[in-house]
Amino acid sequence: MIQISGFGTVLLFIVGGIGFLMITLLVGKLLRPNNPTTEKQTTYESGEEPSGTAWGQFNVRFYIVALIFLLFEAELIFLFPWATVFGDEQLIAESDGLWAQFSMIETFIFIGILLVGLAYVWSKGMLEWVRPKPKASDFKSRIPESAYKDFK
Amino acid sequence: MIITVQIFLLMMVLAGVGIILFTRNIVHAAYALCLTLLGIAGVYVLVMSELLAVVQIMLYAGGVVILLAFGVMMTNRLRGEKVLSGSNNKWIGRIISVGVFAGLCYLISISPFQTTSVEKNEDQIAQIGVSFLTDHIVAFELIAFVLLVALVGAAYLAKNAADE
Repeated sequence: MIQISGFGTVLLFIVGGIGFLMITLLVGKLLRPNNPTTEKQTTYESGEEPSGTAWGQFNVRFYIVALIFLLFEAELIFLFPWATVFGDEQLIAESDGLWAQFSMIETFIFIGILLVGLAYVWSKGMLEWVRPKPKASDFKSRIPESAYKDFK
Repeated sequence: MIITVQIFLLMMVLAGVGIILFTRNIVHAAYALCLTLLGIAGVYVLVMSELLAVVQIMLYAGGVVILLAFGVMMTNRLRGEKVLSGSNNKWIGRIISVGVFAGLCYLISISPFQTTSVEKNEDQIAQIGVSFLTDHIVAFELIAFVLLVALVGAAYLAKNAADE
């Protein structure tokens, strides 16, 4: 029997989670009365009438931000192994503290190179979120302003 | 126990692949891809490659699938309808995929894989960390440059496409 460290527990949690969900949904399906009406099947029962579908077009900004996120996540992956060893007391003691300095400097160079990329996307305005622009209406009312004062 | 886990992972991967093959809804295909990638992460755990499993979950199941989903969500032809993929060139596609499958099977069968059992290494990630900072320090710093180039390039291309 091979020991798979803590991942056995993780698998147990996944299986347990899926199992509990399945059983709950199944029990609900068996117990509840099934009497659908058109009112019940609307998205918000007794609420807002939905128009169109939820499958709308998203802004392309999401995609750019997801791309940037992915690249920095890849950077994070490479910092994991470093994070487990840079403070290793035995290695620091063996190298008279040189190990700590070296690993810190090297990793700051590593992060610094990636920061250039962050500065690039920031300066190009790719991190800016789209805000709806308030549109000034050019509607001119035929009722004069003074009319409102008279009927106050 | 271990054989149960293997069967579970195999079913997970195959279920995902099956859904990707037979669904026409691209969003469902993206979810199924997530399932497949998580199953592959489980396979990495089984072959004692913990760091790869974490990378698989974080980068592929977490990142690439989100990117795919966003890619589907912002397609231009999406106007309140579901995105369905058509199926064209069915026979050429089948021939090519069977050919690729046969070629991969042949390559795997002639490759000298290590078939002896691997000793479980407790601090595998720490060892990778030490080798990053000693023997492979140049590679470690070059990775940063590669990531920088990828970041700037991807952001530039996506920005240009967005402005059009």
